Amino acid sequence: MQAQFLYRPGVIRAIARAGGVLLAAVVLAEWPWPLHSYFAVMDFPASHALYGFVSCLGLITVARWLGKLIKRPDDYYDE
Amino acid sequence: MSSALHPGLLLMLAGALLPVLGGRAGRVLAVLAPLLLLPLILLLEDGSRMHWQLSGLFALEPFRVDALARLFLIVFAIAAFAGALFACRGARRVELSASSIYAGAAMGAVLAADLITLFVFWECMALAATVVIWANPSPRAWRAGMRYVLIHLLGGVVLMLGIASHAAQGLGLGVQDLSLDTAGGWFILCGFLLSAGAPPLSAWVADAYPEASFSGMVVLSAFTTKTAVYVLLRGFPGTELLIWAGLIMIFYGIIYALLENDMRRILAYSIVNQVGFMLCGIGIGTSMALNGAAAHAFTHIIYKALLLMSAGSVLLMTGRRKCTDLGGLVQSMPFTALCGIIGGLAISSFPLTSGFISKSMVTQASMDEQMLWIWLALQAASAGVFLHAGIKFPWFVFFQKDSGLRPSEPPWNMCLAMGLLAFSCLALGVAPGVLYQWLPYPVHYEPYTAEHVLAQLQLLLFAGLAFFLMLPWMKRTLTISLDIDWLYRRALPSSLRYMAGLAAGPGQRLRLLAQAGGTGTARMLARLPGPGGISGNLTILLVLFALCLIGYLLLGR
Repeated sequence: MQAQFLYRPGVIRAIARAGGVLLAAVVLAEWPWPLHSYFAVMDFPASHALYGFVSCLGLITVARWLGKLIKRPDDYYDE
Repeated sequence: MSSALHPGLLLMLAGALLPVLGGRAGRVLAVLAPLLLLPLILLLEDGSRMHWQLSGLFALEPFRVDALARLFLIVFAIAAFAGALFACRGARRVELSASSIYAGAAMGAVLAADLITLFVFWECMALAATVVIWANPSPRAWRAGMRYVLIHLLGGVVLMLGIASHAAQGLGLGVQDLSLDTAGGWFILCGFLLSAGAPPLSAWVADAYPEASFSGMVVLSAFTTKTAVYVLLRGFPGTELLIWAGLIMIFYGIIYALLENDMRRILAYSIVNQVGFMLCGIGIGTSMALNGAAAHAFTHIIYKALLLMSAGSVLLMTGRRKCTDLGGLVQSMPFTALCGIIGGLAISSFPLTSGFISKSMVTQASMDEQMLWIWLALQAASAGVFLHAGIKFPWFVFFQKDSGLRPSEPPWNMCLAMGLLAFSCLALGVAPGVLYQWLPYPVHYEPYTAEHVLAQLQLLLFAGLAFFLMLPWMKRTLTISLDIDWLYRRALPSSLRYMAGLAAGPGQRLRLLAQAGGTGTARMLARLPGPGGISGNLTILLVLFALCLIGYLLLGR
């Protein structure tokens, strides 16, 4: 059945592995198709991969930090 | 001649007829009316069709068509059709009727070339949207609708202040003649920005929309913010302030969506985020950027409606809206999940989806203008969109832990609506020329170069890696996040209650104000019943004050 299929540990491992291969592929693809950034600061190999990764880590960290200040129980406004 | 018919008024008429027709005929009309309008809109020729000269300088031009107006009319008709198809069997008749009037009023605002006509349709939209929210029979929706209408009436007053000030100074009333050299121009800009969900009052989007019914939010997401984008495109292209407002909206949307637990509030925050991209484009102001902003509004309406249909289907079939209660639904709702994923890929601008061909134009424009910091911010934001909407929504609703829920797919009309929009997202991504031909300026842009596709894939896939590595930090909690609306939902009522309590004891809440003001108005307001509470009554007071100011401006010249 499709139901159990996606939740089987073997399948999850396979999906994770495929994801890893995909990540490696888009970085290695710079070899045949070098990326030339318009901006000098971004003109190094795997720059977009690194930038996407780092900016997301930053966003999640900021959200977590801000969450400590502004999160309230979800019945906060209920009367 | 068919081309002399005003599509907005026709759709509003259909909406008004709908309750009279009743039953099946009314529901069929709701779906067919926008569909039949589509060929009419495509046949509209450029030019102005009505012109009434009022006293002196002022003229009303309620029906002017050009490429930009046509683009928005087309996508509004598509959104109205898909929304009605999605809603036609499950929604209440009052919601279908209000939705048609709402969509028609948005078309009217698009066709208006003068500020007076624009204002009339603007207010019709605010009222019709409120009825759409109220069509959900829950006390929460009632209160959220009340806050929505008060905020938008306030926005309308600010807009009217600007229009009146323009008129008082003898300036033209054309939507295209706006500038920030006058006080009136600033008021008008503020009125537009409020409806766009710009800071500081962005909170109304995530406060009001998710309280609508399963189908109501689909319709709501399409018109108000995008009509605001349209008038900003017309009135304030190249205004640098919009770049900064847009960037704040982009990051506000991402951060709040990352913190959110309610699946439709996640998508509401991402509306603010996406409109931020459009505002950036308008602020940059080159023909590439303006094309990008207009194209992004077009594609956004479609993929956001698709995402909200997917979420609406889950809400209808499970009755649950929090990520903490959901999960594993792909097992029994694979089609709904697929549509949600396609919407998620499109909003994240994956290659071969509609978002890729539109958002790229805005980032390209920042590159062309050598705006390094803005380009970097837009790139970080693109990665963040995948994070907060592209992965987060499908992951927490359809995958993650198995919630044990096994709802079936929604009824056929809802599946059909989702299927059509999912197809549109992919078709526009594969054949960008279809959209590019309708854009206001000639397009010299090729999104599919090896470099661009590769750079985008790197950015997004590594954003995805960050999501899964940081998953423990993304764990959903039963919380909401405080926003500016805290001021008028908590701080203001509490402090007023406190002051009133000091003076007169509980139960005589506004007595203090009534005595201090000594006016009949305040006394009347204190007695006003209603769910708006004290802050609601205060808004009415503000509205009255602003009306007095308008009168003064008009008479005192």
